[in-house]
Amino acid sequence: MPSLNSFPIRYKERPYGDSCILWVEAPEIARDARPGQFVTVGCDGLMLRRPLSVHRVKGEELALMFSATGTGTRWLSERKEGERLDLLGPLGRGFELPPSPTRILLIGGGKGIFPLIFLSEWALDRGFRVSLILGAKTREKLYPAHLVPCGVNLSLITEDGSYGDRGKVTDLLPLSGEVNYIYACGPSSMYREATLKLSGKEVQVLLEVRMGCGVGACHCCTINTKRGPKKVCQDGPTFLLDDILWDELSL
Amino acid sequence: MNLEVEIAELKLQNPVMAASGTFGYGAEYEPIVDIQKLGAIVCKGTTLEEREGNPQPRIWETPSGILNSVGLENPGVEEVIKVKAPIWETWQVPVIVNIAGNDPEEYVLLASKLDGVKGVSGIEVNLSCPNVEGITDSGENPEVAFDITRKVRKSTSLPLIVKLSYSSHVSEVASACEEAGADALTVMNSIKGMAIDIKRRRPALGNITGGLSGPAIRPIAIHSVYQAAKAVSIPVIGCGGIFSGEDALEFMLAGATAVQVGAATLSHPRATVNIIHELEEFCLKENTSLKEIIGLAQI
Repeated sequence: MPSLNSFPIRYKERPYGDSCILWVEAPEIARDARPGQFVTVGCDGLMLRRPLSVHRVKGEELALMFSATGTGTRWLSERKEGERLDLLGPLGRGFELPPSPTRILLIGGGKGIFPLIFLSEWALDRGFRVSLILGAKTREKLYPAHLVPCGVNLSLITEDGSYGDRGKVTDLLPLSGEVNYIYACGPSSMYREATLKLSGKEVQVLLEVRMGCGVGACHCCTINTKRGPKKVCQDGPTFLLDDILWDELSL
Repeated sequence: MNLEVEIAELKLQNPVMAASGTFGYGAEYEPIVDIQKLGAIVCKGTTLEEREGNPQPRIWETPSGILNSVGLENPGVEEVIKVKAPIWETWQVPVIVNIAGNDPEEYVLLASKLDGVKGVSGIEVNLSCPNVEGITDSGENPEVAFDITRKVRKSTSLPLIVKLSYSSHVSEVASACEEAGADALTVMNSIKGMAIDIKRRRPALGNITGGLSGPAIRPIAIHSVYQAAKAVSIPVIGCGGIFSGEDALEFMLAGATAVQVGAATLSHPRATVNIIHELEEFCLKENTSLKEIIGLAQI
């Protein structure tokens, strides 16, 4: 059940480039949040709340990670420790893990890594073996390897070859060895590539569209899927890659 | 403190209603908003058949406003009667069903089907969805508004509210609806607008145009309410960018008997209940009832 309240920012990090992490003390949300779920943040002077995936959870604190590239995220990146944030969450349907621990593969392209860190910590805590393919355009845009949780089997790749292998995350697919549970987050071009390389596998992906209410009331985020119309905020934001109709997502 | 107001035979515990389209069917907000405290809830626009709605993107932020183009996505009236109404029947808060048709006959069918359904406390005729082809100018055309209102009036005994679009001659449309038998008017719907996404070099919305709501349209809505309330003796429900108790008071002083809150709910999910508290505080401080202030600014 989602909570709506204002919560204090306890710690702020600027790990690389224009990225920003806000650690917020939000016990109700931290307790209930699952990997893949999101919160919406009220931003002063802006009409629409900004949806942000949960990046990590530690005790009663919740980390929200974003790139300060738009009006809302720039405002958020200027918040200071001690200030309060108006949060609604956790919202949406998170990733589904298999019932018993096994090997899982995570694929993060660019900013898509933000919600996957929570998933990797969650899965490691429950005895899963986690492999992660992490990629970005350049070294400057790559999530720092030392922040990836210990125990994750990590492969790095950049499009310009400035760090790790040269190429796209999907160039490393399919990964050697048997893996049946795959979780991906990144731009839609990455999902299209993944569709070709992972056909027959069950891949859960996280989608991003413009949202209104976040609770399934306004129908602003509805997309058509192979299983009919779905509200990204409520039926997603996690979807099966196979169910996506690409023409719907030419955004 | 007495905040009660009346819309036809509907007694509202306070004048603050959730506007159609932003509040779903009410239950979506139950976990975070004390919805039973509201004056009324107007559900999403309902059509005869199920509608898929418009292509993405459907929402876009503008200065002090929101452009939306959902396109009346809804499961159709039968589903609303079968699935939603039984839930509403158990509620204290009255639920009004917003209906939208492609022609007068569809409005009549919708109204007849909803007549007598337990859990449905009223009908709001949407003459004015800016996002759907059909009788797009019906909210601006007094003859069409009269025709639809009169036909719907004959097919339902439920309180009948007609929701108007922006019109430079709102007084005429308002009078036509009153003459045709409307019990109240909602003034007004969002206003047609457009934005361009400069990154994609395309219209920002999948439907090209959308309805603009939020504080950006508030002065236009206040003016429309002022004119409509002067022209008719039935209650006018003010709607357009109401974000606070003070905004609601502005509408009531201009002549509104009640108000609807839409865009504000997207920014602040508890906007409706916050506005009710602020109105309560105002009445306590000023030692007045809300009924007493309706239309005081009319000169």
